[in-house]
Amino acid sequence: MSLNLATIRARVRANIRELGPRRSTTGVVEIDNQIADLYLEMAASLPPPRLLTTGAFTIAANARTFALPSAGAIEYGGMVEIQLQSDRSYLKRRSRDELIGLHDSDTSTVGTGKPSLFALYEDASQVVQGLCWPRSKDAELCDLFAAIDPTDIRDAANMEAAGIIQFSRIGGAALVLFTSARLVMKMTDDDLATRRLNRAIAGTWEKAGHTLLYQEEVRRHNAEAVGYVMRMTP
Amino acid sequence: MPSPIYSDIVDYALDRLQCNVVTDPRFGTAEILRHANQAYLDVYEASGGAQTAAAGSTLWTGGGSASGAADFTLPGSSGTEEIAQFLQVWASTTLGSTGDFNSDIPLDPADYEEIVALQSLGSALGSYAAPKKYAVIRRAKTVDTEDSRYDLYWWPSVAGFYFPAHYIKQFDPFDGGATDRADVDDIGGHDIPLLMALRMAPLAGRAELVPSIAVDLSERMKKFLERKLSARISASQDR
Repeated sequence: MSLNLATIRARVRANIRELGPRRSTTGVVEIDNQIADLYLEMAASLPPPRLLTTGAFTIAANARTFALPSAGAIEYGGMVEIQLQSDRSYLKRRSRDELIGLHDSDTSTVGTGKPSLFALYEDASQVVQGLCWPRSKDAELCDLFAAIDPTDIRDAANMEAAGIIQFSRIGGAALVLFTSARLVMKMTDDDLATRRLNRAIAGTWEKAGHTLLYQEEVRRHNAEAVGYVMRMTP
Repeated sequence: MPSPIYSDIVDYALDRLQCNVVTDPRFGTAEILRHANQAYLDVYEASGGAQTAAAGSTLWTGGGSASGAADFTLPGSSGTEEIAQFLQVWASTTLGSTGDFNSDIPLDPADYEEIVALQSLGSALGSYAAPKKYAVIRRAKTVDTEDSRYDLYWWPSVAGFYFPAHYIKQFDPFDGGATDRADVDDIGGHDIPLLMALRMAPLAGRAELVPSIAVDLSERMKKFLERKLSARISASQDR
């Protein structure tokens, strides 16, 4: 379940007692920007969500390089699986050094088979570039299963679009509490008096937020865990 | 109980002065109207006025959705110029809404310079598909017909919305019509003729009636008059 910014904002406003806009000492812009900052801050301590995109990109015929999709300023969280649609084989991930070693002294510009190995690196504009081996004989349409870092909701054309905050209800509750606490910490005594609010509540909200954040970490881990320490199989 | 109509207010004030007569009246119609309005003004000042709701198409020029313009102007010719304070402004997609539709968006009030700053920042602080903040500023008049005009600015500058509002009206004096009704509550309506009579008694040569009239004023009005007098004498007000 994803959440809307308006839902998070409304709950924050109820917490800090400013449902009436005229009692506001913060306002929608400050609240939303605090939510956006804390969304990124919380996401930084959580495993990024995974996304399967069929036919996400193509490795061109005779090419030994490719780029992962970058539309929408998408940024990758590290975990990447590439599967060729032509024979459903998975490319094995290697270091760039290994791929360079395999391509060393290769002067051919013609592909001879299906890629089986790949390496990735991120360029200066956060586009993930890939190197594959061997060169692809034909154009290969690829499915992509990758960890996607959360976007900055301020980059969206409409911050209030549905599902823009990709947290579960537990993560959403934590985001509400952290945001409320951070806003209360910034308030002056006059601000707090206007709202009939006690500053001490910020500590309680933060503590509860950390409990929820931990639960969110556990929940995401359990979704992928198999109950034992996994070993890498080459 | 609604506040009394103008003719009842005048009758009661003249009754308290014992000069409610047709032959050789001590006060002319125009003079009575001025005293009534002065008393009404005092009561209105004490009561603070009432909340009024109006549709965006009534309030602002253009009479409908924004066509991309960043500001609307309150017309000064249809009675809507009598606005003392905006309490709440909404962004609505409904023509006749007065802010009472579920989909209406209550806007945050902001200073004009905040609206200007947000507009100059572009999308740095995020983008929205609907207005979120508004500022209403009183426009300097260039000609007399532009008296009490207001400009409405909102952010972000999104088109396609009406801007209904709730507001406090400015003081609207009696026009002398017999059935004109004061826009105050029941107790305020009771005080208007008494305040009239208080001011008119010395003019009628009946200052000895002042204490007996004053004793009938509401406690609220007595307190208000004491504060007003204190402020005039010592430039201080109790809090």
